[in-house]
Formats: sequence, C-alpha cells, structure tokens
Amino acid sequence: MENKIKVLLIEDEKEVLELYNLKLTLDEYDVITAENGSEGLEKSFKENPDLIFLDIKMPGMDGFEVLKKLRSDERTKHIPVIILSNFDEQDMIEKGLTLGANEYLIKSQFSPEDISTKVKDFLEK
Amino acid sequence: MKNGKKIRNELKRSRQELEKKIVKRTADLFKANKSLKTSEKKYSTLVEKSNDGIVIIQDGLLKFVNPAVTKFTGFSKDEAINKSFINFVSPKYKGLVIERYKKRLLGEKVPNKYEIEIISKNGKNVSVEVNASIITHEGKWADMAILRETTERKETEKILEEERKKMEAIYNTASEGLALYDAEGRVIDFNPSLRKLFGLKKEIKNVKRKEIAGNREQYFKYLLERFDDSLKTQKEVYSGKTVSNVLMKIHSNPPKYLEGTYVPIINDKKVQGMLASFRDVTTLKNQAEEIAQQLIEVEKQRNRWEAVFENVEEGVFVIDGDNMLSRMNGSCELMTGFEEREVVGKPYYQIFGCHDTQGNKFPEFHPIDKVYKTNSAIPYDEHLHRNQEGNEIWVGVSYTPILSDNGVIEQVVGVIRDITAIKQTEKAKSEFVSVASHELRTPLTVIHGYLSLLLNGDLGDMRSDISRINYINALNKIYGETKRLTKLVEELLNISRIEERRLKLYTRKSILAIAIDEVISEFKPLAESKGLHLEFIYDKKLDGTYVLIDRDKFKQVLVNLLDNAIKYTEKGNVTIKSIAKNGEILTQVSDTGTGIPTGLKNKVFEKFQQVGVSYLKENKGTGLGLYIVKAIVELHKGRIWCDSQINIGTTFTFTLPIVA
Repeated sequence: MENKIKVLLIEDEKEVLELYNLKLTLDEYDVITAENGSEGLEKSFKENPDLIFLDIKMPGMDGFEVLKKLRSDERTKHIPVIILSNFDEQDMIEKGLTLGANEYLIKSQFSPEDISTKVKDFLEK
Repeated sequence: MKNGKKIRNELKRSRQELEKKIVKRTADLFKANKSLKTSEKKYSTLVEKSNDGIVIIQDGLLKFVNPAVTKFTGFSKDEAINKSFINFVSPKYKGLVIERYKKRLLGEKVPNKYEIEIISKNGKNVSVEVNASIITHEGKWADMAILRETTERKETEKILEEERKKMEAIYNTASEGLALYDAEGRVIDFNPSLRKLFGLKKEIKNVKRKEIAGNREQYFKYLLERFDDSLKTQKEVYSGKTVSNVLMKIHSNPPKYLEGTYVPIINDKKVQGMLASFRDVTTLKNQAEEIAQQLIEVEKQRNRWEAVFENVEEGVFVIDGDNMLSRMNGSCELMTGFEEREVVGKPYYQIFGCHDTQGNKFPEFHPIDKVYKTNSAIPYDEHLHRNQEGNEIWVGVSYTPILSDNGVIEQVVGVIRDITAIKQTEKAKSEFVSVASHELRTPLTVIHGYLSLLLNGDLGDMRSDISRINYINALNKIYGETKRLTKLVEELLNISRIEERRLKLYTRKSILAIAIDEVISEFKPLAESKGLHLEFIYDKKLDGTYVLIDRDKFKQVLVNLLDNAIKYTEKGNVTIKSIAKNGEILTQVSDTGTGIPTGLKNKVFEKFQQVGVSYLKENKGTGLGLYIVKAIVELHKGRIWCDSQINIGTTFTFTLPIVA
C-alpha cells in the first residue's frame, strides 16, 4: 500500500470521474480525485502525485490555467500531465501541448482500460 | 621863284602822298597776303579733315588725294599720286567715267553728281557718290572730285529691298488672309489667301468695308455669319484699339470657321488705316468641340461612377502612389467611423489599422504593402481591421493597383466589405459544433467506459455482493447517461428545426393552470431534496380563460425554467405565478438563487450561453435550453424576458395570449 503509484484525476464531470476512479482503483493505483481546477491544483501540491489526468472544461479555473500553474511551480513542474478532454479541436490540442502537457487524449476514444495502460506506460518509462 | 617854290612844294607833297600810298599799299598787300594765308590754311584744314574723299585729277593722273580717300580705299597718298585715276575705278564704271571726264574737260554739260564703284586696295568694290567740278590746279585746268562713300547706304537699301520682297512673299503666300484698309475703311489691298478664305466673287479693292458688310451676298460665294457687330469692331479699331478673336462662320460645305484680328495702322498718332488678318480655325474649332463633347461624356461617366462609388454597399477607397488616402465612400465612412474629409491626405495605415491573425500590425504587416511589393492585385483576402471606436471588424478586401504606362503604381483601389457578422456567425457555428460534440462525447465516454468494464470482467462475475453492486451501479450509469444523451440529441434536433423554421406546434385550447400543475408535481421531489419551497400562485381572474398551447412543447418550457431555477438556487423558494394582464397571461418563474450579471441577462437566450466568462468554465448543461425555450414561447405568439439581481434571485417571465 505504501509504495502504490499515486494518480490524481482532475475532472468536473462526476460520472466520468467516478468511472476512471473505479478502474484505476481496481488496478490498484492510489487514486486522488478533484472536481474542479483549484482543488486539483491544491491536491497536486499537497499529494505530490506521480501522474495527473487533467480535464479542460471545468467551472472556475479551467484545465489550461491549472496546467500553466502546475508547470510554473517548482513542486509540480516535473509531474507528467495527461490532458483528458472531449474537445478534439486542433488548436486546443496544440495549446495543451504548448503549455506543457505530456499528452492530449480524447476521452470518448479511450476506454478505462486504455487509461490504465497509459498510466503503466508512462510510469515505466 | 615863287613858282619854283610852288613846284617844289607840289613835288614834296606828291612824294609824301606817294610814300603814304606805298606804305598803305604795302600794308594792304601784307594784309592781303596774310588773309590769303589764313584762308589757304582754312581750306587745307577742311580738305585734310573732311570725311568726304577729295581728289584732283590732271591729265588723267591723280594729283591730290586727301586722307579720307586713303581711309576708304586703303591706298596711301604715295600709292595714288601720279597714278592714272582710271585704274582705281571698277571695270563696270570705267567707260562711264572716262566718257564723262572727257566731256567735262571739253566743256560739255554732264551731270556732275553720279554713283560709281571704285576698287579698294584689298580688291573690294566701294560704292561712292561722285561730285565733280572743274578747277585750276597749278595754273592748269584740273578735275576735282568729292567722293562720298555709299557702300553702307547701299547695303541698307539692299536689306530693305530683301525685306520688302520677303514681306511680299509672306503676304502673297501666307495662309492667313490679309486685308489693308485706308483711313476711310476702303480696301487698299488684300492677299490671295483672303480671296480664298472668304470665297470672294467680286472685286473688293477700293470698296468700303461698310459697303461689303451691307451686301455680303454680292461679294462672297457663301453666307458669312459673324458673331460680332462688324461695324462696331471697325469703329473700335479706328479709335486705336486692336480687336482680336473675332469669330465668323462661312457656310460652305463643310462649314469653315475664321478668326479675325483687326489692328489699327497708326502713324503720327493718327489712325491711317487698318490691317485685318484672318485664319482658318475650323480644325481647332472642331477639335475644341470634340474635346468639349468628350469632356461632357467624361463628366457624365464620372457622375455615373461617382453615384456607383457613393452608393455601393462595399466600402471603397483610393490610395495615391504616395500611400495617402485620396477618396473614401460613404460605406467606408460607416465601416471605419471616419469621415472622408478627415482622412484625405493621411497615410492609409493610420486609418485602416490592420493586423493579421497572428497579431502582426503595421509596419510588419499590412495587406496593401503586398500590392506595392508585387505590383499586382489582391483579388480577395480577409483581415481584421480596427475602426475609429477601436472595435475590431472583419473585412473581406480586394485591392487593385492602377498602374501608369511604365508600370508604376499610381493608385490603389480598395474595396472592403464588413464581414464581421458573417465571421461571428461562422465562429458561432464552429463553436456550436465544437461544444455540441463535446457535450455528446461526455455521456458516450461514460457509456462506453462502463460497457468496456463490464465486458472486460473488471466488475467481477456477479457472484459476490460487491460485484453485483458494481454491476447494477454500472448499468444505472449507462441508463442515466443514455437518458442524458437522448435529451441532448432531442435538443440538438430542436435547434436544427428552429433554425430551419421546421419546428411545428400542435396546439390545443388548454387551461394553463392544469399544464403548470402537471410539471410542478414532477419537480416537487427534486425541490424537496434540495430543501427548496416550490409554490404555484394562480390568479383567480384566470378562471375560465384558455390558452392555445402545444402541451409537449409548453412542458419543455416550464421544465427548462424550473430546472434552472432549482439548479441555481441553494436555499429559499422557487415560485411560479400566473396573472392576467392586457389580454395575456403573464407567468413568472422566480428563484432566490445566485442571479445573473446585468450584461448577460439578454445573452442567456443565445445558444450555448450560460452564465460564465467562457464555455470552458461553464456549469453542467448544454446551454441550449433557454434558446429553445425562447423559440417555443415565440412560436406561441408570446414573449420572454429575464429580470435578475445578483445573490437575490432571478425571474423569468413569459406571456401567452388569452383565447376566447
């Protein structure tokens, strides 16, 4: 339990959050969830996760703003961030990657299984 | 003795008288001699200083020449004296001179003044006027000739003669018609051109101008039309003035135009006559008329273009070669917010502040620069401009250079169309697609996710309680998200129907309170779960009134409004109140929720508008609800609006007409 990989899910869609939480927990990851941007940022600093899944469309602070803050803070700039969004516009993808996301995934194209595999792939690198 | 003394005295007196006489005579002689000497000196000085040449010829030889002769012949005194004079006469005149010389010596009468040519030392002929007379020289007859040089006078005469001939030639051959009148206005002379120009058919010499003017048909082949008062012109000229640009028309076929100039001939301060000159200005006049006609055409054309320029919907402006704006039409004024007079003479980039989509601004970027760089037109392009109010406007532009003959850009004509609205619509459309797909993908993600968990066996085999709970939970999620997806698809279809005006109502005469009660009962559990008080207040005056509604669509309106009211209210009341007013039923849905900022009150009815700065930060929901609500209310011939105060609450009011 103590050496579990810690994954932070920042996602305002309750159903989506629950789905990923369920799968990653089943796959024995230590999952932390945040339902909006500022909560996600706070938990990033406090919990020092190994990987962050970040949604874009969120009330208050959106995903891009969270990413900017993560990348400009010494505590979090090294943490891999995977954007999980249902926006597939090219300019959104480019913006996410430019701001320092390690990957940009379209939610509807990835099953919970794929997401879990992504975590494994990322942390084995 | 007495006699002797008398004689002696007589002699003495005679001698004395004689002496006296001798003395007197001697004195006289002396005096005479002296005066002669003075006179000789006088004459010799005269001869020496005379500008006329003086020669004395004796026995055919030159015996004397004065310095003037030396001066105009070049021969010295020594070279001339004792030489035969005839050698100095030019061969042409030798015969004449010899003949006259002989005759004169013989005492015959010959003219003593005549002109000859003599030969100078350098071989040139010198014209001289000879004035010869007979004198005695050293006791013998001699011929004295005074020679006056006339070469210069001859040459002047020659020049004058040449000039006269030239003038005559000009007079006779000039294309201008010339006529000379005397002091009484009588024609003294006219040249051949005048005859031709006027088509004279009768002699006009010595005829008074007044007489010709009175009987033109007798004198001229064609009708002569003058555009001045002929006699008045004459009067003016004879008062000393020059009258020019007098136009007249000869009605020949084709007609001819003449232009006359009348100049007074003034001598001794008196007008002695008049010179009239006429030139054929038909070609000039025709050209002038043609040019005038062309100018009228150009003006007409210009007016037509000006009308087009001012009235086209597109903004049109013209830039001169030096980058300065020179024209701007009304549409352009409206678009930019500048008036033409404010911008003329200013650099275009100051007025059409423009940047590309990357935000590059002048001087790094200006579309018109490209025209100057490439010397070619930009057929169509789209750019962001900023108008005087500082607002960004999207413009569709086309720039066309007008090149000079040597390919230099003289002007650039810009045609711009404000496509801001089109761009906004395009942007809204693409945003709508983006947001709609996002909204559709979210439930799909959840449905797809749970189904894959179920299929992968991630949720176990239902043998354990946990597994069963997980199964049921997954199925519930799938069911919930399917409902959400269905609702969304319905909304999107409705939007599409609204926008294509295909949303139809199936109305029935209904009692409003019954329709409202139905919806309220559905929302009671939700309101109660949030601890909200849901109330319906119904005006008794409405008893017995009916409205014409499509029950399903009306329900959609109320569902949306109540859904929002409950969603945005944490505590307090949600109230529905219906009252009668001016033949309508006003229904208000009020809450005690967070409220809507003033600026967004009207925007809530737009597509994908929720209260928030950007869609990225929006709450759940599609943002399509109120757009559809408004469309449905308006289809029912009603209106809908929104009143709200931050942290106090929001009221949506819609109206429905009462039917009998």
